[in-house]
Parts: sequence; structure tokens; C-alpha cells
Amino acid sequence: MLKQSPLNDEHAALGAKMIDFGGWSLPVQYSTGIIEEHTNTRLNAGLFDISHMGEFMISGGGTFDFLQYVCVNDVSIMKPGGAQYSTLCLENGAVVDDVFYYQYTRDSFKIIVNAANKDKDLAWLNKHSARFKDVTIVDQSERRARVSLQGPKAQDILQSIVPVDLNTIKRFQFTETTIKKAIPAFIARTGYTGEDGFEISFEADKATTAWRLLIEAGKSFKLLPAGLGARDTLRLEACYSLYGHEISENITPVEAGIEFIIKKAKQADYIGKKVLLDQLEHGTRRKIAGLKVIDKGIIRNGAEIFDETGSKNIGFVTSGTFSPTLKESIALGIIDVDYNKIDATVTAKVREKLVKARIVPRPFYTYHPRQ
Amino acid sequence: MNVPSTLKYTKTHEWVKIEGNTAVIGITDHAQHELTDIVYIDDFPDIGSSVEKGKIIAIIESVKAVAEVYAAVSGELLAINADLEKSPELLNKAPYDAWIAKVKITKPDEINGLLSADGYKKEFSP
Repeated sequence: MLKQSPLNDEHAALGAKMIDFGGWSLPVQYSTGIIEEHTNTRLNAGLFDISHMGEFMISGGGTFDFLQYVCVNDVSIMKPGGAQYSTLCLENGAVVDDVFYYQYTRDSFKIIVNAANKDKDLAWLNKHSARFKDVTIVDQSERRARVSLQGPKAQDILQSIVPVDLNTIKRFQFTETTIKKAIPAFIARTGYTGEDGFEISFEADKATTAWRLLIEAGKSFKLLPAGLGARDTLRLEACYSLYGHEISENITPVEAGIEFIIKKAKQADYIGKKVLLDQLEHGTRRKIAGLKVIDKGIIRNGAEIFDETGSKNIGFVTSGTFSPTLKESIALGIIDVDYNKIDATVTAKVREKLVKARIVPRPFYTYHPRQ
Repeated sequence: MNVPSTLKYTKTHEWVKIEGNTAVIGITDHAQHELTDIVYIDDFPDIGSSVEKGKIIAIIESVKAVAEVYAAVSGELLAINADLEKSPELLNKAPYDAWIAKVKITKPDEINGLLSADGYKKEFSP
């Protein structure tokens, strides 16, 4: 039996096409379709149900030291009200999960994790918290629901139903407020689309009311609900990693091109530090590449990548799709650094045929801040 | 789900319109809905070549998936719908107008093996 979001009935009423996503029944698209939902998020705004994601509260006197130990990024550069992206890594530098956490105080953080990794992460965090005094991890994933409001109109829409001045919440900051003075809500200026926007969390039993208030507030701003299909094409254009694709227990953050999370100045020891600092300094044998398909067709996750002549296997595709913004076939792949040069031609095997692609700079779509 | 009663169907979600000794082949409304937004159609056999029932006559790529289109009957490939190469979204917008291939029927008995609209609906209803 698939797990259902608290917003399941809303999706059904909106004509959603549901799919199995890591054990959850979730909308891949609504009646409008992926390309329209994608384009509308870039032009106006999209509302995504992300209730499947995991949400933990970590608190107690040992919280800061504990997070410094399990997270690659440097928690000491955060301030209360701030958010940070990071990975949890193994000793060999490969990725357990990628996460966002939000600092209330030095002793209190919210952490949002991937749905498919939630149980693994909880076990991982509990295991490592044992070496720190006074760390309490509470799984709020099911008690709460989460949505993401993304796009250039996101602030105008949200501002019409919250009292806090959203101009004071900068990118990677958050606040606690209320929606329509009735629903307590956590609001963070973060997202996964390459657009300005907000990720919002509230009690699960308020989810339907909150969703409807957002849809209603969005009517004059051309807001459309958007499904996982558009979420994937949007994040891929912006070159945000997807766990199990660009990052995994076989791929490190340096290989995945998210080495900005590794801070040389971080004093604290953390899991994977030795390997990651070494990779940061000396590079890796393989590295992420942006690809544009020259021939017709889409090269998808798992397709083998070869050199231009098709004789030598040099890597694999991690994600591929048709870019609704560029109207081109795009992909990300992990490729041997000897062949991973901008403008180089490579080939990818699709249905026993070799399809030509060109290595291009990442991202395909540059983050678009509020104007 | 739109399944016109005037057409014949395959279990692999093609529709077939019999016009004299020509079979016009496309994909069903159900198929386009399952695929999501279609962005490419490719890999057609040459016009004039012979096609065999059940063999691939085109590859469709959507944002989320890839699918094969099979010849619903055997025969000679008379035409492909070149408009679809420029505007593959027609397969989503009007699946029963957006024909993919026309085949000159060489084995008329095969038509009897195609599904009626009711038969097709039964194939994928729970």
C-alpha cells in the first residue's frame, strides 16, 4: 500500500495523474501537463506538494557539535534564522543523503531530508548522536505537511496571506509565522526549481486548508499546482542534485560538483572530512558534466557514456530530460576527467544506438532571483 | 478516457482506422496520458519498406518516458505523419487526429485480431 500525502484528496480533485514515487502515491502532473506546469513556474508560480519529504527536529545542548560532525558543510557560519544545504557522508566521502537544515538556536535545528532516505537518515543520525551528550531527534514527518511555492510571483502570493514582511526573509533564511492568522507555519526562502520561492511546513491536519488558501491567493497571479514531473525538469535545468542520481552512496559531493558545501576553514572533524578535503585539493578521476544532446532523443539515467568514436566507456548519465525552457534535450552525467572538457563531443548508448552529445557549462538555467 | 467506438485497437495501445486496404495507425488517448508530454517521435522505417505486425514502427519520447509504437498490421509503409516531427505535442492534444503511419494491408485476416473499443477498454480497466 502506497503512502498518501495529507493533500491526496486535493490532488484527485485537481485531476492529478498519480505515480509511485519511493513508496508514495504522488502527482507527477495535473491536468495541465509537465511542460505547462514547468513553464508556468518559471513565468508565474507553481505550488508543489512535498509532504513526502522527511522533517526532523534536533535539539539539546549537543546539537551544534553533533551537526558539525555529521554534516559536511560548516554549521558554525550559520546564524539563527538561517538555512544551509549540506550532505551527510560516509567515511569514504560518498553521500548518505543531501539535506537542508534550519537553525533556530545553537541548540535547536529543523532538518529536511529526502523521502526515500528518511528511515536510513533517522537511523544514521540516531547512531551518531550517541557520542554526543544531550541530543534529541524527533521525527515530525507525518505530523506535519510540506509544500513548496516557487516562481517569480511566489512572494506576492504568500505575502497576501501572511503578516510577516517577506522582504525581510532573504534567500536561505526562514521564519515562523501564521497563514491567515490561523495556521502556524514555518516559511523558508528555499527551493528546488532555480526560481525564487518558499518552502512551507505546517501541521498535517491543517494541510488542506493551507493548500486551498495558497491556491486561492494564487488565482490573481496565475499560480498552478505542479507535480513531480515539473519538479524534476525544473531542478535539472538548474542543475540541483537528485539523490540516487547525481549523488549516492557511490558518488561524492566533489564528483557531483557540489564542492561548495566543503569548507576548508571548517575546524571541526566530520565524517568523510579526510577524503573530501583530499578530493577538493587533488581532484577526482571522474566529475559531473552538463550535456546537450546533438542528435534527436533523450539520454536518461543509467545510459552509458562513451568517447566521440563510441569505443571507450567514459561514464554514465545520471539524469536526462527534455528542457521545456531551452527546448533542447539535456542531461547530467559523471564522466572521466580526461574526456570531461567543455565543448567536447561524447556519445551515449540509447537502445543500442550511439547518440551524440556536447559537454556544456552547468547550470542550464541560472538561479533567477526576485526582480 | 476517450476510446472512439469507430476504431480498432491493439493491446499495446495503438488505434487503427481501416480505410479500404489501408490501415491508419496512431496511439490512444490512454497511451498519451500515461506517457505525459511527448517531445520526440523518431526511428521510422523507410517509406515503401515492409512492416510486420508487432514490429516497431516508431519510438516516442516524452518528458518522463520512452515508448515504442508497433505495427498493428503487416504491410507496406505508405506514409508517416511528418507534422509530428515538428509538433510531437499533437500526439497529446489530439491523439485520434495525430496519425503516425499508414500501412497498405497485405494480411487482411490480421484485422480480425484487433480489439474493438470495448475490448480495448477491458484490457486496462481494473
